[in-house]
Amino acid sequence: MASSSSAPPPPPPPSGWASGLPRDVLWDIFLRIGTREILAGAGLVCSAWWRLARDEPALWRRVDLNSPDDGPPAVEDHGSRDWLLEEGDGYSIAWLFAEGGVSVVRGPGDDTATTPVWKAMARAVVERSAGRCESFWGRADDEVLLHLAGRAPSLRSLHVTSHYDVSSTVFSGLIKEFPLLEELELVLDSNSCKAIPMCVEPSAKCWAELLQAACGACSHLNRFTVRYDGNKIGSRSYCYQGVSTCLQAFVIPTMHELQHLQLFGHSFSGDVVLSIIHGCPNLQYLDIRHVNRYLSHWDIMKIKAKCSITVDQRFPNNLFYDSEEADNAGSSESESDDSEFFYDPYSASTDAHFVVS
Amino acid sequence: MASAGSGDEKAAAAAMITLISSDNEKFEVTEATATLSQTIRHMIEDGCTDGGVPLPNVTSKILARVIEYCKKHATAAAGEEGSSSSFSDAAFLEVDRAFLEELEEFDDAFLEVDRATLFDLILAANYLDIKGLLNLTCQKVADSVKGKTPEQIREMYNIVNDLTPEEEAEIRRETQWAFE
Repeated sequence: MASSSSAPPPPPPPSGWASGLPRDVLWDIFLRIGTREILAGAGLVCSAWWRLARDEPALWRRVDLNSPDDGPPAVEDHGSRDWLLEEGDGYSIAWLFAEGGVSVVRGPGDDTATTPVWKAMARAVVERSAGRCESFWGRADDEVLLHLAGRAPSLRSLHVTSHYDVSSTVFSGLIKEFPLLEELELVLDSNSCKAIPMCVEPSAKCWAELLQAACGACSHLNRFTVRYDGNKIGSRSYCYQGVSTCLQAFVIPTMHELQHLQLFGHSFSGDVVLSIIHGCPNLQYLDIRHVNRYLSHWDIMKIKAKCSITVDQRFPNNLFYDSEEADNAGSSESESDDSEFFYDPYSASTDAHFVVS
Repeated sequence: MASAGSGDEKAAAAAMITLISSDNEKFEVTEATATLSQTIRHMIEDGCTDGGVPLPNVTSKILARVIEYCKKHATAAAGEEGSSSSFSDAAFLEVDRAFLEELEEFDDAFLEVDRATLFDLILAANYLDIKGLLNLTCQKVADSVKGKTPEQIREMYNIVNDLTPEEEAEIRRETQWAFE
């Protein structure tokens, strides 16, 4: 029928973007968008898009909620930062910040306003994943992890990328719910001190305990990293004494698959590190840059000797260069009572006398 | 006879297929071009392409674009196949890289289309099962919505917010942050 109107007829071709896209296609698009974007953007556009986001657990197999907004502040501690940059082979920096979205140096406390957001997002995602989640990257606390623990039996990769206010008791329990875990990274809240409520030194034990718990529960673990937000540990000058309190308890099963280990903090004393090396026959990468300021030179020598098969231990040449702890290290008793690893072929090394007072 | 072996590439290249758009326009394409579409490949394999392949879901305007894409990519694929006997050859890798760069440029230019055309290309790629084209177009959409609020996305794609009050309430319960 001839429409007589002179106006140019059928204007925009039907904009079927809302419900016209086949589900598979929309799914394909969503998979390319990223977790946060689906949650707060595309997944709220219209009914059809929202229903897909809500009802398709496979969309949430790989969750990445990491965001600069709640990411760790880029290492802003003067000393440590310079040092890191000097290391400059690209790898350590890439490893510390890769996929972390930390492209901007943020000051401490910038992120307080967003606190409820990260949590709501994490909970929503875990809920929607309906047990299919295999990889979780993002900020979390005990509550979020407990929520995840009951709902992600196939989790292989867990990266708590910032502010984890750890409680080792809770962690030891919930880590058992992730028997398939292969990668574990915990970026702890620098103010965290729940681990040892009785202790004057904050979290004196928790680092080693976290690794111990993870090794006990996850036999497939092949990467383990624990560190603080923003390497703030440099400002702590009182932790060395805490070391001796956790020496005897540390035992891990043989971890055949553990290849990559980044330790951080004062609870990894010399013989804890040695027993880790002993328990991980296939270790290929050991980063103890942030541990060794708490170790005596003697410990370092022993670890070096033991580690000839591993690569990239990253011992700085100026080991005690700017660390206050170094001055006390020699007077600490801890290196004299750990004789079980005392087989160091370099024991007569000329360096040794620099440390032992 | 459909060419099954790799020996008779000549024959395959020479064989022509007629595609018929929804508005009855006919397009003659080589079999190599047409078989980038899995849907058409299956039709050829089933021997039901005599007299042309009707594609009632694809307009001539879109089909022309799709064919343009397939021609380009079929040529690239043929180039690769031709030199595949010496695949470890450095010279081949060089050629390969040049091919890929050219293809990438082609793809970028190809995507310079309005939203409605993009939508139709997606539907056609999906219907014809052309993996490369579907990837390309889906990625384009994904890139365009990244970092956008729901409202911005609605505007961009002319989508009406048809969430019911019940659905909005459910969303609000689960995702407070979006409505703050």
